[in-house]
Amino acid sequence: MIFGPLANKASEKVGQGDEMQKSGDPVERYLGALHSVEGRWFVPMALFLALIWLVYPVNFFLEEQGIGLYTHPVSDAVYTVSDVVAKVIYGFVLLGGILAIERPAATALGRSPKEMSGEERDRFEAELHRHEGASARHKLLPVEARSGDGGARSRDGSPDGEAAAYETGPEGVRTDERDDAGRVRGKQDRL
Amino acid sequence: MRDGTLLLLQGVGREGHLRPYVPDAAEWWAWVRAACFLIGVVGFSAMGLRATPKGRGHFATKILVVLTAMTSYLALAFGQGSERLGETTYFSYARFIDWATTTPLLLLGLALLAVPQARDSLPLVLVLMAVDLYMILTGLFAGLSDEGSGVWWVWFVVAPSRSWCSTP
Repeated sequence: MIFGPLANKASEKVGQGDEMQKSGDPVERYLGALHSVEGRWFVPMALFLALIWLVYPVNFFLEEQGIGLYTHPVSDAVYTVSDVVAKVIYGFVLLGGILAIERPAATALGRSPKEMSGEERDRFEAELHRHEGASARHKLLPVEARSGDGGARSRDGSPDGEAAAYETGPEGVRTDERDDAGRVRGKQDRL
Repeated sequence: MRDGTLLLLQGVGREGHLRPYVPDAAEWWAWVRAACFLIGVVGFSAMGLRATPKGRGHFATKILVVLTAMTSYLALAFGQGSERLGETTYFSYARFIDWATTTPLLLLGLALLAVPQARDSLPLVLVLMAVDLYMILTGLFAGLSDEGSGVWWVWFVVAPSRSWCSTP
């Protein structure tokens, strides 16, 4: 009732991610790259965790509190190995994967978010937030565009140089309109 | 006077402290585990410095997981968080506190990989964490029951089967 729907969601996420990567909007492509790799990671990572977690009930059954096949030091040793694998090794694998996902995502964006600083990063994060909101509640987007993070974007000022790389795209019509407005306002501020 | 404070202070020192019920082997394993989790805390934190804002949530949950586990095993290494049940039986409740905190967090991290937006799948993610907590709690009841008794068997069967029925 839980793993099945989650696995379905993961494969939907992969499909969505693959679609998003075809978009002309770089932020959409960035999110798409993240989504498709994350979705592909779910089943192997879930199986890894499930297999390791099988050790616990077996150990609980065999140790002194169960049938008593072995006692204290052995059961502790088994718990030590399984705990370290389930938390530390699993963590290194998953977090290493999260860091590795950033590379194709940064390629899709044309620039790594880690290289951004100050206004550029704020603008990217606002854009990312808006895209995520859009994929979840696209029906509410026109309302949000007027009242929500639109205001935040107008304070950003004008993007220059590489920052413009993820700002525009042929498919991001609504984005472009707001970008133009933001940019015009930014230039006025500077003048 | 063996009041709580005195016991705690004496439990912390390496020499001449009161640890009548924790065998040395278990303590030694607890130290090994605490050290492994310390490596996890340091390693995850160092990796987290290279994370983008989008990936930081994963790092935060994993660091919290290993930090909690490290704390629990540190307590066990000091001879705390464990109770003597029978002649050779020890019950480490610190481990259950650790599991009740860390396993739902691990599952949350896993669920975040699967769902595009956590808020859209909130009921599913919460139920997954609740079922896991249920399993840990029934495991705790089994641990507190007399070993090999009918009660123990009931809890041993109830804990995983209830969870397995709802997770696939």
